[in-house]
Amino acid sequence: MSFSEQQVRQAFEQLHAPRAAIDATLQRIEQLRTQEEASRSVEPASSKDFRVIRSCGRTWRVGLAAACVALALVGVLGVGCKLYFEPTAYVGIDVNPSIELGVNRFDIVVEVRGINEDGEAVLQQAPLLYRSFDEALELLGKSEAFRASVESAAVMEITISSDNEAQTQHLCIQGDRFIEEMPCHGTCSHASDEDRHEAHSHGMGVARYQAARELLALDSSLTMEDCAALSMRELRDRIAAYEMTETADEESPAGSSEEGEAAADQAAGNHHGQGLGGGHGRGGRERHGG
Amino acid sequence: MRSAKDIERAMTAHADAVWRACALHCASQADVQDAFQETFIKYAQADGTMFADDEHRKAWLLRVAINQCKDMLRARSRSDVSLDETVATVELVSSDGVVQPGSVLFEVAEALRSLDDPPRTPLYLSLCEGYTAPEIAEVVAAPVNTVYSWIARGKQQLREVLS
Repeated sequence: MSFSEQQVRQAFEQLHAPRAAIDATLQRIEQLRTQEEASRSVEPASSKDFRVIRSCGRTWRVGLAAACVALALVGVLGVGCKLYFEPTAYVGIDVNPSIELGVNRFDIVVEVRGINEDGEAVLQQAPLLYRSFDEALELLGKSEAFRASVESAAVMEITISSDNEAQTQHLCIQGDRFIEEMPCHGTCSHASDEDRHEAHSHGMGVARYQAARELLALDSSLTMEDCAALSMRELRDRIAAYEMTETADEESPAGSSEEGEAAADQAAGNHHGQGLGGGHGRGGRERHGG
Repeated sequence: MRSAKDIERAMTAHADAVWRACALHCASQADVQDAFQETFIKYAQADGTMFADDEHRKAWLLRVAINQCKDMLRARSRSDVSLDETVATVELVSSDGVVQPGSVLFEVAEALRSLDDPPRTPLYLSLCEGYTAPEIAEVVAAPVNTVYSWIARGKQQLREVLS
């Protein structure tokens, strides 16, 4: 210890608590003891109240800090929840049934919706919510209700509606792979948000609505309600039949129009008879992926 | 509340140490008396606190006294009273007259009081109360290594003030 440090020690050692301060303190403590004993007989909790009042300032600061931390956590949680629960792509699957899956930026299914009654029945059997898109498609493919509708003659169309080009691409690749694994025919394509909203307003999935519009353009005797009751196979068969008729009319305007009309009538009356699943893809959609 | 005998015994043993700790921190003689009194009132009321030995009791009293002084200083800094005015009223005077304004010991004690806190408290506890760095760390609730650096910095600053 240096000389100055020794002097500091020496200086403070000379300081003693004055007798008057000690006596005043002892007196004050005894006073408090008397008050406490008196108040205890009337109000047992008064000494605790005294402590609570004294700690008020610190409690206020701790409370404020806790509130700030809680607010920050709520903010982080809110942003996290928004990122997780907000669908960034909608995947419509139309055969008949028609369903739609809302997929978030992490390719997790965060929304499921049956567009028609058959679609709702499928979703009741297959719990697709909060599964990865891949896993959801796998579960859907294994579900009996869905499997029954995708026999070899059926047509399945998958449409992706998203502003995210990259996500659209890889969801489409997964969609194409899913179609390949199924016994039916089909395609995966992109549709705009407007098409999606318009289709929903008519109670149809996007692919079914686009096929219905194609058919209505060819057959003005039908209504949108009529088209809503048809499966994708039936819609595509009828479109193909009308297209064949038109082609036949162009090739031999005098002789074979009756044959073409007969083909169209046959298609209109026999919904499951023709293997024409590949003859579609019109209606302004962009084909993506494989 | 603790018994009168317990309180008197604690005051006999530690009143000087508590008084010095209050004198180190407080801005005026009245504040020193208030902090001193509040410390022993808290001791009297802390009848649920058990002490392993007398040194443990002393450390507890010093920690309460230091915190009490800091609370009072904070309250004063929030009030209208200027801190400079109150600092001007400080006088460390021993009852036997050895430490008086103008004396060497008075100047030395004032030099320690003029340091920032930290390092003032850790340096005081080290020099005047003979505490080790780990013991000081417990009193001031700080890491031991930090206490070591505070003490070193305090000694350096004290040398600079006294030179």
